[in-house]
Amino acid sequence: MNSPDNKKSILVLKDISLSFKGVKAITDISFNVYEGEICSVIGPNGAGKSSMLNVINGVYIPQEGTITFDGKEFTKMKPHSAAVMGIGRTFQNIALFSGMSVLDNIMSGRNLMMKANFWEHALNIGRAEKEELEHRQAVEEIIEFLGLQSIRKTPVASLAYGLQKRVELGRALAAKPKMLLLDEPMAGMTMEEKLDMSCFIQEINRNYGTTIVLIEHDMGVVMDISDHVVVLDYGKKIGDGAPDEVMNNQDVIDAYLGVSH
Amino acid sequence: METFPSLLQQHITQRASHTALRMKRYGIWNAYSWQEVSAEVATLANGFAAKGLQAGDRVAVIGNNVPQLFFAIMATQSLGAVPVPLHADSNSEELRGMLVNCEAKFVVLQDQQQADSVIPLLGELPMLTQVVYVDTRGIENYKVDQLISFAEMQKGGEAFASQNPNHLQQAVAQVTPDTDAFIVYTSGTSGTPRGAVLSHSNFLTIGQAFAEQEKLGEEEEVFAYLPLSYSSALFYVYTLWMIKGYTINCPESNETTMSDMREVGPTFLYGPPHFFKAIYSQINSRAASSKSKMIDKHLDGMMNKGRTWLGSKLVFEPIKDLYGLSRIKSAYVGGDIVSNEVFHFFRALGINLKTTYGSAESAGCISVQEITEDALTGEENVVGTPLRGVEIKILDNQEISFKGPNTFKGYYGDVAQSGQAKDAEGWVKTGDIGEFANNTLKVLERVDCKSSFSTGADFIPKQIENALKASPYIKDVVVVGEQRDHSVALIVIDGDTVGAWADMRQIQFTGLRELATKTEVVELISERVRDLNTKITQVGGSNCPPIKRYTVLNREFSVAAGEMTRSRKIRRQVIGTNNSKIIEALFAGEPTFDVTDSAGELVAKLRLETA
Repeated sequence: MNSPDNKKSILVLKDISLSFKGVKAITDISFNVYEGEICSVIGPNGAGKSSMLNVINGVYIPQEGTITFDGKEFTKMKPHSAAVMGIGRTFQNIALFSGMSVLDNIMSGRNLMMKANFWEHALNIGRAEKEELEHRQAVEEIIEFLGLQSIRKTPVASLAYGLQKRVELGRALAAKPKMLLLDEPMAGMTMEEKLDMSCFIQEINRNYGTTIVLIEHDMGVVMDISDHVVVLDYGKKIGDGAPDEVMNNQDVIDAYLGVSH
Repeated sequence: METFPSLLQQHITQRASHTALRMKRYGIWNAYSWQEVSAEVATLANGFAAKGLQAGDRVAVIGNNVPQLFFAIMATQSLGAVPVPLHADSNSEELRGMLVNCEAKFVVLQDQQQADSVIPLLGELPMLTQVVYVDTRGIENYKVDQLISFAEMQKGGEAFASQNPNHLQQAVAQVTPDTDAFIVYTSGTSGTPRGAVLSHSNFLTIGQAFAEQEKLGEEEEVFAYLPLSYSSALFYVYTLWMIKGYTINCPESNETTMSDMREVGPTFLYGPPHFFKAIYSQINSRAASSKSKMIDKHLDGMMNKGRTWLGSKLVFEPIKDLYGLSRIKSAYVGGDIVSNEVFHFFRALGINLKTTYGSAESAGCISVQEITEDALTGEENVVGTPLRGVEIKILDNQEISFKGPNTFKGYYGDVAQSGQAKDAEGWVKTGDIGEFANNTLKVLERVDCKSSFSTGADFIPKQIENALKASPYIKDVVVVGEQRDHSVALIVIDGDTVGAWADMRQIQFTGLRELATKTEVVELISERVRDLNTKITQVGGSNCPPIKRYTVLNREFSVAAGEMTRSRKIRRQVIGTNNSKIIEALFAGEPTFDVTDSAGELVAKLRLETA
């Protein structure tokens, strides 16, 4: 397995198995994600990619195995605590507040960091005003980073799909995650939008130092930007390593070309 | 006599706390007073000096309107060096010729995009010692010796200033009105770019004449959105700003230009024809798609009979406000010929729009239209009367030539070209065909674009094109007829307005490509062509036959393919070559033309229409 000694693992998955009433979604999967890398989890449809992401994020609780994030080991984790620990994510189907503006949607990503209570916010007293300004500054930096200035005040529902995806990325980024999980960030996009999204993902990784775990079923898109690729098929891990290593792996080629099991 | 740096010093003594510059960032307008501008410029100039910039050296400035690039221009001029503004979107190929030609010692650029275009050229530019970047995003990790951030450069300037406190002052004192102030690369509608060298007095003398005639004051609010590489931007934004000390406002990004302009509400505005055409088209298509007939009614009435009180309150004032035009005292259009309908529209709306004429070789301005404030429209193709000190002469081939305090020094490093453009007495050929009578100048077309039919009759394609472009649905047209007995037209539709028009009629389409081939759209354009043909002799001269055949192209003309200049002027020859098969098919009378991609796949079937 590709585990250079000088790299520190931020996420260690050990012997994870997940089943739904007897249907095995994930079987005995172990892999590491190293700090500061872009790691792609790829595989054909139904390979267990999204289940894997949901396990990392605490949406599903695996029957077996342990997860270690940032040095802390646990078997059970709730999505909220995952967020508090610094795991951010986006969803395969866009999950934004469609009636709210781009700015407010991204602002909602700062929610966890707001300390003022309900009354302080409602009356704009105490910590609320100062906090609002600080968070607005942070959000504006993200808006500039993602080039969303011209639609800052536009309701999300009226935006094109590719832009909505970008807003969702912005909201996840607003929480300043240590690790960002992206569930098919390029699904349904035009080629141009895919290229834009690849650039943003790389820039987030470089500029903010955020570790990125992304899921894609389109191999071509991710090979260029990933440092590390994990390949799943039928709930099992069939490849794990640097992109070119994985590309030449016979199991991976079979899975993508479709060899009967 | 003033220079740009001496004017900067005047602003500090006369209006130190007056706002000189605003820039929108993170959603907020941040202001710099003249005092602050001057301090930024001084540290930067000292930084440049510390890195060895000397009087006469060239500094290329590449990027959009951001405060730091204005500081870079001012700092360069303070040292007696020469700024060379280049277009922000230029690729390596385009930059190579200009950077090699001007032998730039420094480059100041805005962000990674420009850095990526300049860095591959470094091997060919031994003179270039410093590449200064403003936005650090993405560039910080580049391992290139010449790269230095704007902040580091200023830091170096502080250290240098403490050791050499008088250096800058001495350098400023050495700058004379005759010192080179800018090298401006001409847009080149017909050739490779050439760098026009202009002195401080070239810009400032003509700027003073303009500012006095047009009564500009320090209270003006100006929106800085034109690319800095345009001579018009250097004149209408930079020169007049330095003369009057008003406030310039830089947009947050290219995409936010229109909404930022609304927030600024400029009092003084210059734009090329396509800028005004875009607003005109948007207003018309919005009015057409509105359920209320009131807007249409009042707009029609306004164009024919003038404004009414009710129309002003209910329609015109809100429209002006929507586009940030409410506070405009005078607006100016230049750089190309504006269609009479667009011009008439803005005047009727109550905006004091005037035509102007200028070029890089004339420091950006030669003439301004004299028009009474309530005149609804002016005479077609008129570009005004010459500014104080400028003389106009029409040569035998009808070419306009001028002479005046704004006459450029010559093209940088190109004596032969300079000699061709400017004669021994100082007359400069503009390359435009025109008429000059009663102290009023008319511009008709580029010299090399006058056409003649096989019958021997001359015609000017641009006049026919402009008449068609008056339609809000038509963005660009090229008319071809040289040595033929009739003319054909390649028409590019305006995707925004035609798109809105199609939406209203529930015509489904995925993009411009598909839209352009829709039967309904072709019919919409056909109406315009038929309309023009009924009055073609008025437009194209007594011997001009009607447009016989035309097609609606499934794409726009491309800057990257050289079909248009960076300032969106069409390059006839390139368009003719790139579309030669379509043009031949039109003349041959074919009913359709198959557009294929590089792999030979059918992309679109263009309909070649007969009028």
